[in-house]
Amino acid sequence: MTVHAGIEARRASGRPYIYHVHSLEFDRSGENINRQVYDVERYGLENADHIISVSHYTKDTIVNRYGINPDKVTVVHNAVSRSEGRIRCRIEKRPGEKIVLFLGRITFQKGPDYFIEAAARVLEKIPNVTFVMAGAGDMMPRMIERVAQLRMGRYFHFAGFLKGDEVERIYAMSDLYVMPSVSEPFGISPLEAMLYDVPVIISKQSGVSEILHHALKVNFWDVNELADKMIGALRHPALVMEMTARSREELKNIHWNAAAEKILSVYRRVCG
Amino acid sequence: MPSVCCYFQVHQPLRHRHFTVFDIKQGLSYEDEEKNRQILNKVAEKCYLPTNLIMLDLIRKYGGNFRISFSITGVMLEQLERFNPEVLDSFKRLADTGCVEFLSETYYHSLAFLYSMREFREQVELHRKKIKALFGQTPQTFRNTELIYNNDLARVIEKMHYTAILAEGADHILGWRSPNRVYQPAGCAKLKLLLRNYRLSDDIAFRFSNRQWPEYPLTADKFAHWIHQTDAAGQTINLFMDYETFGEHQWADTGILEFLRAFPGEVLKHPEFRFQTPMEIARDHNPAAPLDVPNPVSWADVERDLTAWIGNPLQNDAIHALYGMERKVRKTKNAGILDIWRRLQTSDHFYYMCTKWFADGDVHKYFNPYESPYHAYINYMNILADFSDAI
Repeated sequence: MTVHAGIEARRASGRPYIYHVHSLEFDRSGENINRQVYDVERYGLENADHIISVSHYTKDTIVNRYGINPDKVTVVHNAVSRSEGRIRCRIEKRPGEKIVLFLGRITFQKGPDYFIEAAARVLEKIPNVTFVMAGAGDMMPRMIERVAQLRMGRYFHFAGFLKGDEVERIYAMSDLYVMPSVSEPFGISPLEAMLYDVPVIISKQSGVSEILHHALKVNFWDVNELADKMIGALRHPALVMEMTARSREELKNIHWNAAAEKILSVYRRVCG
Repeated sequence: MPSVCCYFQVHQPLRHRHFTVFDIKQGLSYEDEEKNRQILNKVAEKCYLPTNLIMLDLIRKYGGNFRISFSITGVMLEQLERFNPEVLDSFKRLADTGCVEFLSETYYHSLAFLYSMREFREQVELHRKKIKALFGQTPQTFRNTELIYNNDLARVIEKMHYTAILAEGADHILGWRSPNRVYQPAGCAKLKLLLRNYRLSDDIAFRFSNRQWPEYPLTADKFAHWIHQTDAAGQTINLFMDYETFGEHQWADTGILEFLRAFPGEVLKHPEFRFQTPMEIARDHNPAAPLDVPNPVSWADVERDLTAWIGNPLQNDAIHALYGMERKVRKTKNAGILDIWRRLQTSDHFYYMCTKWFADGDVHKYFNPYESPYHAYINYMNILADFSDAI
């Protein structure tokens, strides 16, 4: 929505205008896009001197859905911040209890419905699992209804919107983090979960899956597959051990400084 | 008289079907029959059939002077019997020339030596019988899965009356010594040890089509020249590689098959040089020195150790769970169940779980039908859960 301001600023200042894309209408709405929003985005993309996208996944959308020349788009993956004062919370859980976390807006884009359907399948096989859905959004009432309908309310917590140390606490408590997004330009939250040595399952329809090798990746719509991988991670300590150890290594190479360097080089190039 | 010894490994694993936790107790088979058939037939077209034909031509052309050896796994032979008897017939024709030695190995291409001596011996015996039945030879030379080798193995193999054993000529076991000598395994009196010359072998197997390689393109006369340079008497140059190198790992359009056609003639241009099979080398050469290899060595990756199969918690968990079932499996006294358990031992299943991505990732990815080692592990553990339930 700031597209017009950007283009106007270029006109007034005579300086180049760079469009840094973090999300597009197709991510938020699937195929049922709002035409007006799309037109604004397209206008902005077409008129940009250069475009930065947070993933190849998003770049592909920019090229294929908006008809933009791929040479005009540079991919700069996001990273994750390590908060200085992060405490490694030691949380008491019931013995043997496992917690599976969904954290994000409860909207179409984030795929909360797939999380719930997969949870039901997990409970067929493992009884002692608690599913936490943290966040708020327009799909929340429907999700609560669906959980009730599946009669798994006692295994399910809707934690609402969490802030600051509450987020840290819930990451630290979790045994598994799941991001079943339908369309995720990047998706920083799996990186945050990995900071707490939590193994992650992410959808292939995400930008972050391009940079993670030690996450389990599934198609968001494949509920059986998602449930299978969730059970795998909950049942096999060896799997968790290897995934988290390797992820710790991988995280060392994912930091904002590298992203900033790359963005800076785009700015320099565009400003000539 | 220096010798050139060519041994080719012939193996295709029985790849598993996609098996989720929801498939447990549904009475499903574990292997992806269709996929295995497709891959086998594809590799047969690209490699086994054309290359066997070339080998046959070469053997006929040079009389008894071009000699080669194969190690064909039991699971491979079974697949050939089921999916592609034409390939099997072409191997039999090669056997009939009398210029081809067939080696012994574990029937199921397994790591049994490391986990169960009884199982290891039984699998070697099964394979021996299979080779005898198909090719009319009783193997004299042993090679363990993935060229895994140490002193203990050599001692066991000597007691099983083999005359030769093969291993990787890894730098860390040889030190300053040459791979082009016959050695005596530490603790053995008769058995001869032949070591792979990995530089020359990998010039063909890995580097042949690499345009960044300074020696590209590799021609048969250039390669023969390198071999001729090591012309001291009593030397043996051991070229050990996957048979699929010809036409599959290196596609036909790289010129690999033309290279093969020209190779024996170029080597034999030098009157001192001849081709011999491993058992002939063991017969004709005295060991230059004893060689002590206490820790297992293999031909895989840069490490030449076991970490491609049992180097991480996933692999260790899976393989211990598998071999932990041995007693229960045997107690059933059910040949079908024993066979299924043995098929689960094929080393490839553990190779797919390898997480050593960064240094050796390319080769691992090429051979891995799974999206990631984690998927491979979960799939395998689901199958193991189903199998455990069945026994």
